[in-house]
Amino acid sequence: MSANPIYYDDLHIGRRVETAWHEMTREAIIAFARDFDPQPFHLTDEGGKASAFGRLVASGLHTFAVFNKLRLATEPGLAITAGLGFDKLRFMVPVDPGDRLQVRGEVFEKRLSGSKPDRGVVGWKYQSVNQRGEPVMGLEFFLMIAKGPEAMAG
Amino acid sequence: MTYDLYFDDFSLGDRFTTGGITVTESAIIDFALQWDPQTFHVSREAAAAHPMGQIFASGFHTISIMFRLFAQEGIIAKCSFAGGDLQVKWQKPVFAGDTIRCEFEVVEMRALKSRPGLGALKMSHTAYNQKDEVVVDCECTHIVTTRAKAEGIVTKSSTAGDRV
Repeated sequence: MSANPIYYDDLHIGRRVETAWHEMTREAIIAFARDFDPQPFHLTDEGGKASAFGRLVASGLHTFAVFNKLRLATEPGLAITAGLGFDKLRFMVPVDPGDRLQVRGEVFEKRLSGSKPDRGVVGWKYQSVNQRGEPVMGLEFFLMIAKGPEAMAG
Repeated sequence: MTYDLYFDDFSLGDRFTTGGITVTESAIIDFALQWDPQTFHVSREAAAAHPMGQIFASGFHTISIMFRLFAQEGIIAKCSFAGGDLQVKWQKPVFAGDTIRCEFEVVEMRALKSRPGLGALKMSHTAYNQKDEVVVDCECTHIVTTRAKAEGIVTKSSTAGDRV
């Protein structure tokens, strides 16, 4: 890893992070939807108009993938031994082509692993916001983080 | 096979299964390069030095595959979008060559009084590998059109039906 590693003890409760901005282009929205969420309102304007949204909008899966991309780019040194999962993922506001998204997060929970003392679970509360400052997505995200380089070895 | 079901066509306990998708190493790397470029998702050497021991798929990739399988089955007619709180647990890693298949079950249903013509369908989505081990466990609420709305007989003053 070229980035400075971030281990379990570096992640205190309340530690905040804010990522760069990412633009959700129309082309990317359609391309992602084609691969993973091929519903009409993610693919065409006609499909969008006929839907509850009234227009083409990004797939929630796409917004979610962008969240991870931004989070990782901002903290590439996180010493992740395993992804555990997430909770309370919700989408509040549709994402339109041309919207820009930023992720803001904060560590809210941590505990050492019961079975493996060289690592621990860390929980973040994250939100993706758009250029108007509206939260578009929120979640709680849990990763197993190493206490030191030994836990990262194979 | 497509089902094209509206909200009212579902019952608690309904189960659906999908075929499998084999996840290749190149698919794992391509997805990870774009969305989750951690070394152990894109490099054999880096993955060998990691506790997992070999390249494994990004958890975001396995979730995307699950929802792709769900959309492909055509279970829900018209469109569905995410409502409520989605919960996912990544249980086991997915390695190159693993075949992922999914099962979905209806666990809760609620008509939406504030949104006539729509219902909230909570489903468990479970992904299995070829050894029948659970790789991803997920619970998710889909907002689904009712048959009445689709057939144009829902008016602003009517609700989508009684609570089920």
